[in-house]
Amino acid sequence: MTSVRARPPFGCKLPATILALAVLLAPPLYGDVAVVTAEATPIDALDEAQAKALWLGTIERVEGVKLAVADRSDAEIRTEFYSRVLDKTRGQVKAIRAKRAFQHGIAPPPELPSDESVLTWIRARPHRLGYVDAESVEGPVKVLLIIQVPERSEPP
Amino acid sequence: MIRQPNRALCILLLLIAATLTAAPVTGADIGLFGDVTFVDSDAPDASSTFVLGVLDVYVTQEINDRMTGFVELVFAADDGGEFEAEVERLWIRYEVANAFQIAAGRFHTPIGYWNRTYHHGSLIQDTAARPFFLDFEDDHGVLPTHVIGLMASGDAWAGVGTFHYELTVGNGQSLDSSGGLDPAPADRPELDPTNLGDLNNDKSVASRLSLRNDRGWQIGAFGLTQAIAESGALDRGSLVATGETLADQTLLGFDVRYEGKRYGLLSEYFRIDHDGPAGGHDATAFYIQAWFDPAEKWRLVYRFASLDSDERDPYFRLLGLPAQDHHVMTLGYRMDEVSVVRLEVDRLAGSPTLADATTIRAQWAFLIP
Repeated sequence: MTSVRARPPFGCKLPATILALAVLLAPPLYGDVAVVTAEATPIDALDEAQAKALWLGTIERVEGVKLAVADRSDAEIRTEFYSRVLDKTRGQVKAIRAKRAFQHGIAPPPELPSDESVLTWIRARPHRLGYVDAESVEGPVKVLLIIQVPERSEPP
Repeated sequence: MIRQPNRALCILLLLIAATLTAAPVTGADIGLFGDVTFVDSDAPDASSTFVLGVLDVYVTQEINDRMTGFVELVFAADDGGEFEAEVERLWIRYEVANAFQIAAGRFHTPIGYWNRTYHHGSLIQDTAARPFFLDFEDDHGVLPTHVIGLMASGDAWAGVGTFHYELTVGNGQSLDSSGGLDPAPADRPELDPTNLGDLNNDKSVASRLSLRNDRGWQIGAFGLTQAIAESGALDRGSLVATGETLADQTLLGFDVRYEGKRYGLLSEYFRIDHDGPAGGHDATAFYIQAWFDPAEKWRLVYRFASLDSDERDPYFRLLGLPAQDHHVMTLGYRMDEVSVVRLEVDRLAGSPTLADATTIRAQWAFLIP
């Protein structure tokens, strides 16, 4: 005889729904996101369209300056950057970069694990760009763009 | 069935992939392109069939700040229906500066935009098939699409846009003429990029210079010179002795590309000169391809491609590709970033030796990133 398990209300499991809501409504663990570069890089600002094109690989230069970008391996800030600047999911970005790698032999950007590692990487050589929590910016680096991350509302 | 030597290649590729993915910061990028195509044609002796396209695996890795490695391995059915693995591209590149990078390995020859951009995975192109005269050598193509040797490349900002150059020096290609000048289709020789070594001391030299601006325009000019070497033997009926020059080949051409938000254009022109024991011959080949996006995810493409060759030219007689025109219309639907379905109608006409024919292709091309 087959046992029939009662379905939860609305066809979903309540604990999973609560968990998902908690994740969605929780305030981010960081503040605004800053796009940064070394002081020696000869550009002073970026707009969001330029940042999107650089991270998707559709352009390599801004004001004639060739730039290299780094990505992040920590999912939280990466997801925020992808959704607010690139308007893409992780899977979409991966596919776009795969096609670029295949077409032009350009390896995907390095994935750095922390704000500190990004700051170290961009300071090591001019013309490198990364994104970090704006509050962690320190030392001889230049902020090219601030991406506002609005505070999420508290759950009722 | 995969032959024994190809297992070794598979193991090699897996080892490379495993090694590269072990890098702590810059993970290797590994992807797989594939396609399945249904083909129907009213050409003589053609039957409707499903065709497994190439299975194309690539690995690329930024080894350090200045060095990048790339491998592209293709599995495809040969004329006998068995799957074979072939290294299509394999190179290592060192960046001295933006304006000068040097690489060694096997490349797609810098002859035009298409050959340097679309490679073997059909997902990234707008049509199911390449322009017929740009088919790869092992698909009985007539142009030297691969080169083994060195490539210098670089780019520089020039105020109006970015200049990019590519220069290759590598092995010249070879052809086996021992089957006679007009071999039966099953016996047609293929251009050989001479993976195992050049048959003479004459090297192939090719270069392309392009300019791309921020408004979507790109123009390029390119050229190639090489001596096509005989790979057959006189005692088997070849036209000249092994290693001797069948024809000196010179290619000159240009390409133009425009990519707008909803429409675009791509065109390439080739002039192909041959000079050999049978005298001098020239040919021209070109295509014009235009696309329009009638709605999001949909793309309509039209391409006219033409080859006008001298029917006495031994080169084209050996390779079995007479003068012809193709009108190609393709409707594509991009399901997402990693897959596209296409319906394509390809009308062959204008050939002095081939009957007019229409080929229909329905293709599903994909990428597993």
